[in-house]
Amino acid sequence: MGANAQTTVPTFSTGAVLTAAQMNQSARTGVPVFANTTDRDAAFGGSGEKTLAEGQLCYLESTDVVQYYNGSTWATVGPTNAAGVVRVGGGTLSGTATNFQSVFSATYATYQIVISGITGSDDNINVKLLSGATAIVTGYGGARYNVNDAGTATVTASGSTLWERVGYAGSNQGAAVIIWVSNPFLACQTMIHSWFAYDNAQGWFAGNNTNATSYDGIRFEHSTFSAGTVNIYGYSLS
Amino acid sequence: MSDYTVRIHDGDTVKDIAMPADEIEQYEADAKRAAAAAKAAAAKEAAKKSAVAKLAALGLSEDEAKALLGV
Repeated sequence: MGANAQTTVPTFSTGAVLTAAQMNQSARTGVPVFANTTDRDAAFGGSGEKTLAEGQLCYLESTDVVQYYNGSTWATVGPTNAAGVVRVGGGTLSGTATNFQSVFSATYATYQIVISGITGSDDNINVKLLSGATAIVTGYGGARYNVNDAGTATVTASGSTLWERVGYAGSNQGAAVIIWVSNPFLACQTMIHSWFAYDNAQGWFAGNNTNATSYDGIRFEHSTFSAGTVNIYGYSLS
Repeated sequence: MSDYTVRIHDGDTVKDIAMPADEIEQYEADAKRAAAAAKAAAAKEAAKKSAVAKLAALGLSEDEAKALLGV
């Protein structure tokens, strides 16, 4: 058993005597907060200070992490960095078009958009970039490669006013699309890639938007979305 | 409300609105062009099948006809 190990968590009643040993155990096994690792290391083992022992916790303001001492070194509890993939927006598809505004920012460069459970009409799913609430209708290019379950492939060019045929949906629920969008928020070309599957076919779409403009949202268009769930994630830069 | 609607997600706010007139005009233009492209693609596919059938009538196998046409 280490110096920090406890065998009971005492409760004091009115008039009870709190001994120095009990006070030390209670106070010294809390989680002290230090500005950085230098202050942390200097805080133990000196005159009138606690001897560092296995099980000691601390919180570091410099890196916003909780650490524990394992008897020989300090280790970080939980993730040492921010999550690699962070959800930045999402919601349900509805109507002729569904906007996801204010989802792109300088925090991330590449975004993954996962759309599942899509139900609609037998029609393409098209995509436009947004600047605020305004749908952008210039600069698009790309192509879709579609293979049906019989193995017949077709290649179709996108229109220039939208990314056309990024996915497809029909009345049978379950169509899905996974999309990657690169650099939408930077004032440079925006790239898009998607993989999609629906009732009896599957394929991919790739394209770009040549406008050297920053965009902060994305829009999905279809004849009529009846259902569909969208989750948008940003890939951490470090 | 118009036949065309837009769902807007902005942060925690979700609202459904009628599609603005300029967006309807663009949407219909996109749909018209996509339909024309699909019709052209279907005609091209039909032409390929017709060509395969005509070559088959001349004695080529289907595989030979497809290889010749690159389809």
